[in-house]
Amino acid sequence: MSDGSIEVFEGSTSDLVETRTNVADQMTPILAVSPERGNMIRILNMVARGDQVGVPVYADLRDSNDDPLPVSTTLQWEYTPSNSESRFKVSRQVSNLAFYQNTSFAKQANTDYVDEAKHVLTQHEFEGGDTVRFLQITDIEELYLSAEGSAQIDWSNSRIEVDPSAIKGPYTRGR
Amino acid sequence: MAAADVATRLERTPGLNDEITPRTLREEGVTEANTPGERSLVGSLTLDTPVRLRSGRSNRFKVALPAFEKLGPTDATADNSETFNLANDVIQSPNTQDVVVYLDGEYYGAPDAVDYAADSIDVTDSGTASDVYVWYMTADPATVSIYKKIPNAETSASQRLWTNQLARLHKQDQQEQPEYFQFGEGWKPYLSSDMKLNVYVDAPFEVRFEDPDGHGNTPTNALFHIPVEQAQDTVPGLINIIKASMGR
Repeated sequence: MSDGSIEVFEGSTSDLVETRTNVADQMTPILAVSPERGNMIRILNMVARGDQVGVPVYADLRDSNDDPLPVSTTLQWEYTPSNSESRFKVSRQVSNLAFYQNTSFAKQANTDYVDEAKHVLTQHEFEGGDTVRFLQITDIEELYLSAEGSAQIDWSNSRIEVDPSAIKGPYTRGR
Repeated sequence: MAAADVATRLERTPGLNDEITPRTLREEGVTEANTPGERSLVGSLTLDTPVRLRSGRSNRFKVALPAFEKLGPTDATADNSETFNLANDVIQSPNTQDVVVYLDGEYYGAPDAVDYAADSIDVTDSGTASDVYVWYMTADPATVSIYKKIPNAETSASQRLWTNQLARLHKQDQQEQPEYFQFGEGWKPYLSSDMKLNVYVDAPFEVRFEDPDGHGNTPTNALFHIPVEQAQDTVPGLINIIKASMGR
């Protein structure tokens, strides 16, 4: 798939992305995003779709029975600085999957619904937790989408796409 | 302390947008089953720091409270499809997963089939004699309400913040027509630290946020996500101002 995009379509992924499987009932990554060597990308927190702040993320997340992940599953974006093992939360928590469960993948970008699809990027909580304009990820850092819920994701049945207009780059890191 | 001073102090206290969810009630508060047919307390949360209920259309409050039933046990043959009848009318919900099943402590997810006309579900148990725990959406008439309460006050001060009918909310497309709080001016949406947020249900079916046998099964299809702004610190004097405002 084209570079500079963050998407997974039933198992095949774009260059920036690696799929992971969450551990049941633990907040663990389902997706890892890292630009290629020497590059960086920016994810904008405001796009020209809908009214509210946030990155539109369209998704259809299912388990190995092809059942949707439980509605109570929570999602959050996490960031790992270079040379660190820890993941820090850098978004508001998406506290339920009701929207993804009840709106078909094709309809999620509709103007009426797109605000519900938005994930709001923030500073880490100990920096104040305010919303940010964008999130910058270089090749030496890593960004994760993590999930916590009673079922595990099976990517061969699932798909996800970050709205392409929210992703700028890849640029040369230049330092 | 003057109300204006408290208001200024509250304004200067940093807050985070957050949600009080069924999980918050379960893990940080107290949950219990209702008595079907009577108005009963199903969830209660004592606050550590002040909270403001976020209002307006952009702060959606998603509501779906499934009916609980313990059925079974499954028969002595493994891997056969078995049909279980539900006591209430099961509906196709536009807001959440219609039916969630656990076999003993094991998450089963959606049943193999749901018969919406006959109100029954089909489940295939890979073991035998398992208890079947079901949480399913129903459109039977029920009332749910949220109250704030000051504990241990000489006069028990309590104020209703929101109430609505589940029968309609469960069928309403909350994606398109979201439920949200509407408050006028004043202290109504504010709860200080040590105050309680109580959830009452009057329903003909059983509402519970955890199975009765300690398996840790939870209604993953329940939605009760109250949008709040949670202060990062306590605010002295706030409880008295709120208490004074509650009589009006």
